[in-house]
Amino acid sequence: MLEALLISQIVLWVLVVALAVTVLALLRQIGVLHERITPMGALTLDRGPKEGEPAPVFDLPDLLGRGTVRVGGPRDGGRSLLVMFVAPTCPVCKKLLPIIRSVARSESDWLETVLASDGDLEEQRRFVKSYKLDDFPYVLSAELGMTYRIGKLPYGLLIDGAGVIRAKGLINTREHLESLMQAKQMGVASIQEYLKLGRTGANGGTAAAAAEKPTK
Amino acid sequence: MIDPAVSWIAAIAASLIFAASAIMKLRDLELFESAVINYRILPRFLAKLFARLIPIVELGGALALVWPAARAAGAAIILFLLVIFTLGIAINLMRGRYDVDCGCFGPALRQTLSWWLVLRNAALAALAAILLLRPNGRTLTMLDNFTIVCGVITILLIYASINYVFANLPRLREIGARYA
Repeated sequence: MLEALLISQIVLWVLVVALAVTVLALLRQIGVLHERITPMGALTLDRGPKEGEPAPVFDLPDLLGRGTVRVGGPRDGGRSLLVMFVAPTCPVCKKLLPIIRSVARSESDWLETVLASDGDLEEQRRFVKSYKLDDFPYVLSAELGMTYRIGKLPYGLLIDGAGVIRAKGLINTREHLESLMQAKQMGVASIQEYLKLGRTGANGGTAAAAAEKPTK
Repeated sequence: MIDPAVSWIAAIAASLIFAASAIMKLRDLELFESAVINYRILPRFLAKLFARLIPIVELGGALALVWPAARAAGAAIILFLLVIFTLGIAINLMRGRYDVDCGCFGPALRQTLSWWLVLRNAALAALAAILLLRPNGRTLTMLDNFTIVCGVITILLIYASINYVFANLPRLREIGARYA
């Protein structure tokens, strides 16, 4: 009897651990699925001006008094504009700043970068100073954030040389930022749209397969 | 008084959970620091000090749990920390700030505040509370050792699973918002 209990105890424990491993693997797969279906800047909420629409034009004063910065509208030389919405209160923004800097430098032949924020002036000045952001134009505007319905930070907005919104989304990592650039090069607003185009297109099956390895 | 096998399961599991949490904070102190500042409870300089002190205290408490003589003291430290964390979360939830970064993990598993976190902390507190009780003198057998190892593995797996569920929750809501 005691031996039977002992065996049953051991068998039960082994099964419990196996079940727990299975549950963890299942939840991990759900997490990966979430990443797969929302890779483009993690999320593009269907709010505010849409991709493919002309960007509303704003003329905003630079925080450090270096003239005005125009967000939206056609640009000289056809260069694109990356508007990064950041804030001193957003921890991930601070992690992202060096990445924004390196991308802005490496893509500077076709891309200008502007940082946008909103809130207390003194806090913003301290933020710019402590993270040495004075090589970027820096604008403060609640109106800009409201127009684009920026909910979560850091948020990226890519406007092409003609003043048309090309891509936008929540940017948590370097990959998100690069996917913003790639979305512009591929001429689609987001991975979601890319997949939708494939599904609704005449050659649905092959397009879906092509979506697995998008060409640059 | 509590059975020593139960005490050991709770001690090893809690020790590993809190040591891992402390190490993740120490590996990215800058991020944890801005997360603490963003809770908007402590003034800036105190928040910076707090962010540096907490992971060290947490690690100390976690290590004390596996040393039987210091177990109750370690459990008291961990309980104290849990109360502080939960207060910080609850205050911000009551202010209506649901989109604050919790600072619990690194940037890969970004979690925002929710009442679920309060519930999770309550469960962790229950685990730590077991450790305040003194184990009775029963001698452990081989089967006890087996129970302890399997029990610890199961608790850690379930804890990791719960964290995945929490990390997935807001993403699921976002998908709902997209296709609604």
